[in-house]
Amino acid sequence: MVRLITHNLLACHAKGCTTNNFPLQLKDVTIELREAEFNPDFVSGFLSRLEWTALVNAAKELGDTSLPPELPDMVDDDLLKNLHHVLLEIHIDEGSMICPNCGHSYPISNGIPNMLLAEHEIG
Amino acid sequence: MHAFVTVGSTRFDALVKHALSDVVIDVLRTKGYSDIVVQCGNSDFDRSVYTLEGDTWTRNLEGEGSIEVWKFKPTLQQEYERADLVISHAGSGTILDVLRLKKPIIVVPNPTLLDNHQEELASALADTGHVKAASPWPIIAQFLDSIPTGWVGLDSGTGNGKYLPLPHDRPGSIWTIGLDRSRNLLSIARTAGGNNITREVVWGDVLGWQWRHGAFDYAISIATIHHLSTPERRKLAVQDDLSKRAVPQNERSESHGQDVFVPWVLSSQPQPQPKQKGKTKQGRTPTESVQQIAQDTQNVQDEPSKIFHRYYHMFARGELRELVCEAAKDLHLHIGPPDVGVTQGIDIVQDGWERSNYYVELRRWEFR
Ligand SMILES: [Zn+2]
Repeated sequence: MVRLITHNLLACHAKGCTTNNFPLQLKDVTIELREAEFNPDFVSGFLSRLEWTALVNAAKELGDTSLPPELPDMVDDDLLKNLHHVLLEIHIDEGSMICPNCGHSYPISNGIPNMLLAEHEIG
Repeated sequence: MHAFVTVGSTRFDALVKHALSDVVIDVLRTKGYSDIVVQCGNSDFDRSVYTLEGDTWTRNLEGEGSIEVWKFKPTLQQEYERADLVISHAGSGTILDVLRLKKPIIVVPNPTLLDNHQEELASALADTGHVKAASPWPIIAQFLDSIPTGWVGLDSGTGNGKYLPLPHDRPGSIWTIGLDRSRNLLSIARTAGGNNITREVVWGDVLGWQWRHGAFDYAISIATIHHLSTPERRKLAVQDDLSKRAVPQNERSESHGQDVFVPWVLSSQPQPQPKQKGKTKQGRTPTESVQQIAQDTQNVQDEPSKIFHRYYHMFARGELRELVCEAAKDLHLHIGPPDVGVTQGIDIVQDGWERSNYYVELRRWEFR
């Protein structure tokens, strides 16, 4: 399954592609919402590791506008719940992820992103 | 040849489901086990592809061979005797009966049974070298137990994803993302641990780095680097870990004081002793974990041209540690605990041998 928790960590690794290779742009995605158990301690612990802007934009692309453009200083329960939903309950089943730098396309099928490169694309 | 799968007197849905999955059936057939008999107890499985005759569900396999599934028989002794391989829950009776017959056995402890000591027994037998258990390796389970809530990590070469649901007593407190080269195994890893929880898995190469800088707080890499064929490639794999993995952010370092600890475990399985190997006609050691067999298929499926060149590096004592140190030196990383005048390094927390595997646990540290 690829959810935004993973999307927030993935970057392009094609040969020579080392800058502006994150975040990958979502393209032609089909999504499914599935409830997951809310663990506020996990979400608040993970918060500092997030690339916030990348997450907010990716969520928007998937139709979720619940996150503020900047991470507020005070994080309340509502924000943690929204974050939980954005990170762990929106499943991308099909589609692809495009590198903003080199345009390499990483397909997603049956919820599994394919990050393999062909031999000549490995840097 | 003939493989017999048994779950004992209760039910073990996961074992039956996996034993009957295309992945496992294919591996078994590749290894010459064309007749597969499953004692399923009260386990659930997809009966739609089977024909029920009396008490037995059967299915003919394409080409040669068949699968037979039934619930119980008064005694299984006959089944053990005619089997060339037994895949079993970790019931003490079954294990002893099969070992007495000197038959190869794969033991899969049933984690859903409480207080029956299956894990303990399997662990004890694995430590003494009698079986190879397919349960989570205790050293890794302990390591994952120690990871603070809120951390996100990588399981590089996750296979069927058995470490993804850990720790069991704090579900959802950390997320381990599984990476593997086998799409088939990932489809199993996706639902590892059951309970309708979906795991995060990524199809990719353990030698690649498909993550943004500093993506992970911890990482594990189990039984993968010994498949890499040259010292250079193995070192490269370790260097990937050391250089790109988990360069932590400021926020995290504040919460842990001045320096940052990013532990991970690398492990490697040495080649089975040649002496044991020669004893079985099949050329396999008497016992193999399901995962290992699955990894064999992975190689067969993903690298068809390399079937006969599958590499299995035999690690000698201390070699894994040395490999890590060499990789670190090349990257100008200090080896040892955080020290004055040094900005970054690795500290080897422990290394050793458990369950026929070498392991190294280290912390990557960095002053900001
Ligand atoms: Zn790129």
